[in-house]
Amino acid sequence: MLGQIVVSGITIGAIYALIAIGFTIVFATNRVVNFAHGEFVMAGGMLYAYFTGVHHVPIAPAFLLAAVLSGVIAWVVYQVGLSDVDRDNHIAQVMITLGAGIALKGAAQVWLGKDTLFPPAFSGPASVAIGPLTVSSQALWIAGGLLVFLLALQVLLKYTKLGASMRAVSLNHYAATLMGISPGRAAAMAFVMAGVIGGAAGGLLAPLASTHYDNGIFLAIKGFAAAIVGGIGSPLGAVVGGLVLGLTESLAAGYVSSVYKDVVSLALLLFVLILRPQGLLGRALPQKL
Amino acid sequence: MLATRDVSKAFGGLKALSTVSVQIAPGAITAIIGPNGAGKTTLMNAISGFVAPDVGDITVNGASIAGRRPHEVCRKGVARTFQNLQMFSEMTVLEAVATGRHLHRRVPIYAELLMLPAAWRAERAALADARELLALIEVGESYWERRAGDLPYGYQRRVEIARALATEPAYLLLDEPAAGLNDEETAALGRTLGQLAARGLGIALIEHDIELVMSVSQQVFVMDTGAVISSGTPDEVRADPAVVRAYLGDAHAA
Repeated sequence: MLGQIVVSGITIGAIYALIAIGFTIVFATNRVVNFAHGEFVMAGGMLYAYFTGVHHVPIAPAFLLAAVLSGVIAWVVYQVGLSDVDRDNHIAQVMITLGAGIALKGAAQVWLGKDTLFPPAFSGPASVAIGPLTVSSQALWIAGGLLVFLLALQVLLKYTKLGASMRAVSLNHYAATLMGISPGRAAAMAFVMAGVIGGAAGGLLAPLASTHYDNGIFLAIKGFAAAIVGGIGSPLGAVVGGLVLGLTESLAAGYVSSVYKDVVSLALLLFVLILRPQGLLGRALPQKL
Repeated sequence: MLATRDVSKAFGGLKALSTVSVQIAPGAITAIIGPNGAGKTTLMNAISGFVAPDVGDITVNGASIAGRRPHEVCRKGVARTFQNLQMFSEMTVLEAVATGRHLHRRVPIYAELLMLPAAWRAERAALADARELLALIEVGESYWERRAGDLPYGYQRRVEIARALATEPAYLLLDEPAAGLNDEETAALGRTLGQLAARGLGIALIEHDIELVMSVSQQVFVMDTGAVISSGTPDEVRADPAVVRAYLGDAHAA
């Protein structure tokens, strides 16, 4: 029983982690919590279901298209909503992301419908046996997806010019502009990455948990909690936070009652905030200039 | 020539700059001195785009940069350092300096996002450039892989200068580069600045260390309460009664 609980905890934790990564990279470069992020995840799931269900697009291109389109949506949200807002005007930024999220939800409702959709899983057998455990094949895709995105992100941040400029903006926005780095470009790229990874998370999750135009906010809360638990600003922290949150929920649902799983996971969030406000892997925020 | 013409800037009722005109020549060191609150740093902020002047113009080789944003000013060939360190403290020294190269190692954005070989090559080339610059500015190889924020203060100052030079500026603005340095480090800084000017770089130096100013600069502007009150060679400025008054008060001006 414990083994099975851990498997499902890791599966949902991996989804939370993918969502948390989006919160984290946008926060690192923009110092803004993007409340529209859950809708990028929703868009990924809904578009994947739409392409496979309505247009009978094969699974792989449908998934890729859904992830890329979520990235495009994120880019549009940044360019239209945030690119001209003063960086220090956090209230305006938060309101704009909230508004963008509501607009995206409305658009999904109108264009993609109000039905709960059950898109196809990525590969054949519904589940595979690993030793004594039964693991759904979609869960393996999810875990693999997390590994691929985490690795790609770490490599991009460490070894490419774009990654270096994003880290520069994150560490010292002031000095970065003096290197000729456009903070707006770094921020836009962070949104694109968050959109693609979030959309992919939505596509990966949809076959397992279905998808609906209204589930963005629920996913955003969990992903945001994971980002905070892990330490916002750190991609690795997002992954740790996601897995810790997923496992905690799963253990609570398995040993206490599924009614209490949200209570336990949000209590964990409070607990971490009290004991370690910067999160498990976070560093203390740099002082304001 | 990097020049400001009649630049004024007020913050509310405080006139931080009033009709300030300075010229910073290529291949020379131009010092800007004055008591605290004279407007030196505000002038530097105006040139580098952190504050927009209310009136007046700022030009680089005749092209106006007034009101441009900092990253645009940087692209016009004007780099600067800050009075207090602005380091990318979590990066290695090499990475921090390499960020300055990004301007000149452009890669299409799709190549960056898909991590195509071009993106890797650009970053490797930027790191190679950074090594050269650090050698030039005399930061030893043993420091290159260390966390930038862990370096001794004097070295962090040098890394900042190397990072500014990485943008290939025609003009470099230094805001109190000798602050916190010991005598030996200050002398080394003076030599480095002389070498850079000899290579054609135009340097503007805000500095309180008068000895350093007088020994390295060819031209001096003296500011007080937001205005330029004197300018000339170091010897001319030193002999100007207005300068003595600003620094020491009326009683000494005789």
